[in-house]
Amino acid sequence: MKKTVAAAMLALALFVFAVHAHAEGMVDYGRITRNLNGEPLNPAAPMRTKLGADGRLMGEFPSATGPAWKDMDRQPWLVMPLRDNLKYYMKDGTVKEGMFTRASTAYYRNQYGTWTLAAANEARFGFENMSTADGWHWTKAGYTDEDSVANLALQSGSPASQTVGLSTAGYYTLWVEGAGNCAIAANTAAGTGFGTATDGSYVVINITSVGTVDLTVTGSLARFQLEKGCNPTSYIPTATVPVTRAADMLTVPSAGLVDDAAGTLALDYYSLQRKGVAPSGFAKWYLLVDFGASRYPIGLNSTVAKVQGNDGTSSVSADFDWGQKVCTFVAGWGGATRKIYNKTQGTDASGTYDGSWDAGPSIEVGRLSGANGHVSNLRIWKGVRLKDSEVNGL
Amino acid sequence: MRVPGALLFTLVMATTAFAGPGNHLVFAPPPVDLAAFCDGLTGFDHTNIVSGPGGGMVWLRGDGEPALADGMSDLGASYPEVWTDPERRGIYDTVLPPDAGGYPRPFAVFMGCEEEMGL
Repeated sequence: MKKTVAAAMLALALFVFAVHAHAEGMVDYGRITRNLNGEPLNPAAPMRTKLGADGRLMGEFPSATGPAWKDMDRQPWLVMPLRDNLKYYMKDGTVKEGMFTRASTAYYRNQYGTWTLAAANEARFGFENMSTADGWHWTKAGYTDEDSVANLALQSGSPASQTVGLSTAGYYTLWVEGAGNCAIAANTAAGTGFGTATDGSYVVINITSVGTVDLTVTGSLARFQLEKGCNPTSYIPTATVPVTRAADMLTVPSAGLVDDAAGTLALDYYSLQRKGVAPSGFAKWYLLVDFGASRYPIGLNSTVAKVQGNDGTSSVSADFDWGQKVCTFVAGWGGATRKIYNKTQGTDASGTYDGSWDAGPSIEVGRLSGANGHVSNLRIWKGVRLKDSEVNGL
Repeated sequence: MRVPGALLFTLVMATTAFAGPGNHLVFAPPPVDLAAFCDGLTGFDHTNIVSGPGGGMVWLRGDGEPALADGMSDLGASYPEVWTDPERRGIYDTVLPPDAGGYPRPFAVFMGCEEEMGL
């Protein structure tokens, strides 16, 4: 009797599994019934498949010289959402975490737009005031990446007029919060772009001869910040001396992720360049992903308004308008060529590839020369260069 | 009492691993260009630079020891450490003269590190 019950239960389990497998449209373990476009293949001659090197899925395709095995694996090896943590998901099912460092505390905006303090070595996932279908809302913008910078305006939480010394030439940004305003004018320093900052409208000056500048506060301000660079970064509270916020640094071990022969890398970027245009002559590099040793698949060049990749031998550049705040960039390489895509603005460019990224021990995300903004949705395909149509579908 | 070698090694490694970043007040006499030095610096954050008749100073923060150029020197890890040493205080004052009361003036601090830097 017991044997009969056990046999019945086993049969039931097998039946349930079979029905489930059928309902899910599962592959019959070795044969594929649909092509890459989802079209059914000839049931009488289903495609043969096998696992290739590094566990990649291979399919047997017809060709002029007979059947040939080709890579069918289009799943990214790494997916790193970077929405509210540093976890990344590998194709083999493992979950890992990127390494983050910042040698100081730092502020970020929370979901209500309120400045919130993050401890040293705590990654920030800040919110930005974005335009949505039903108005402006504080929206999660992804991993916050900022370069090291100092707030030179003293008592920044209770702004008052003062004279500030600028010891290096170049661009500086003044931004304020509150109902009043703050004018910046040359004292012993010389430069261009002086004006008055109000809430939501910052001023960028270009100091050509170092010296002092005068900050004149009118009305009531809650905060103000005078910092090096040509875009506002997160708030840095000061008292009696300038305060420096350290740079964010996110790294992912590159071992097993970067294939020199072929690959694809994609990410989303939210720029803090609120004015939309880099000031003339602002030669600042924004390396969004860096392999080290002057090799980077995706970087921004503010001087020429391009999204660029450089394999150490040559660069390939696609047009990039700084007015675009939210962007998706893709870099693909394989054989002797590579291509970079600015998906959001529909530009791309091809160039030669020297065949070697020679990635160092880790992939660095953001930082290195000041990628002030938010990075999210990092994806890496190892050994697979996606086709144009596949990139368009990302 | 003998401490087992493996335990000693572990203790040393743990201490080193969790030491965290350190501060360095770097002094550069003329004509060393501190701005150019900081632009080419990797692995360290730097504050605003202060310049005076005797040269320039900047705070660096990071792991390990920064590779300084010829003529540059590391004055210390906090303001009190520098100000209480007559020789280092002398160098400090040549760049940033004391206030009317004769007290040394701080010029920069890393965010959240005020206490560590002696402010």
